[in-house]
Amino acid sequence: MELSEVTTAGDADPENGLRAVVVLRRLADRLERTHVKRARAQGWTWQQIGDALGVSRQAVHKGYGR
Amino acid sequence: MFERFTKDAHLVVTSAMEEAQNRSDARVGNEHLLLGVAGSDAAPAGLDLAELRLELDRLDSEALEAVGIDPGLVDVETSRSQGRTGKKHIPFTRAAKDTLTAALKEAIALDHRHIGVEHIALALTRLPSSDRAARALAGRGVDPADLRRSLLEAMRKAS
Repeated sequence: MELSEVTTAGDADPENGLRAVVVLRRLADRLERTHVKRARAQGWTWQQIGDALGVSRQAVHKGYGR
Repeated sequence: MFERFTKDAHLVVTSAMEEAQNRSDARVGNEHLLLGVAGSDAAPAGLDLAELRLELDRLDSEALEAVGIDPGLVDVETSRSQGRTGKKHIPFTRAAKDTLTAALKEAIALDHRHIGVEHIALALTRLPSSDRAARALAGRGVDPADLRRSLLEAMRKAS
């Protein structure tokens, strides 16, 4: 699927469009959780994970660390 | 307002909060109140909790399709992050708050002193058709006007 197909789906009503954003965000959150865990298990540092995700080390640690 | 809720009506509200949490939704909306009503011991006939849950998943798939994403690629159900830890307070949407206020008004209009599950159900029959709860009902073939009529009739018989 081309990304342009998604971003140009201008015929979708906002009801569906906004709900689709929620569903995709939920998927992204879940994917993130899985892979942060996996990275930690493989010895990645919070800094490395933060860099990979494009957020600060503190942001990742706050969300997943203990 | 909540002090006038019956025990069952209270349970509808707390179940709605649990449904939102289990579905990983960030707000408690009318669709969750509807699930709370459907799951209640005092649920009106014709509302099936399991079917309505599936219907909400179907609406999510429909939303993805509307923006050109194949829902099969996402798997709406498992995209939910299960087992989110701890009880987090989830705020209510404006529309869901309005429904609870409308339930109070339904009770007042009927001269009832307490707000029960049936009053919340009545309030849910008057939502705009674009509301997710209204769309879930429509998807299950439940006509809100019919539901309203049968609710009122059941109350008349009970009194």
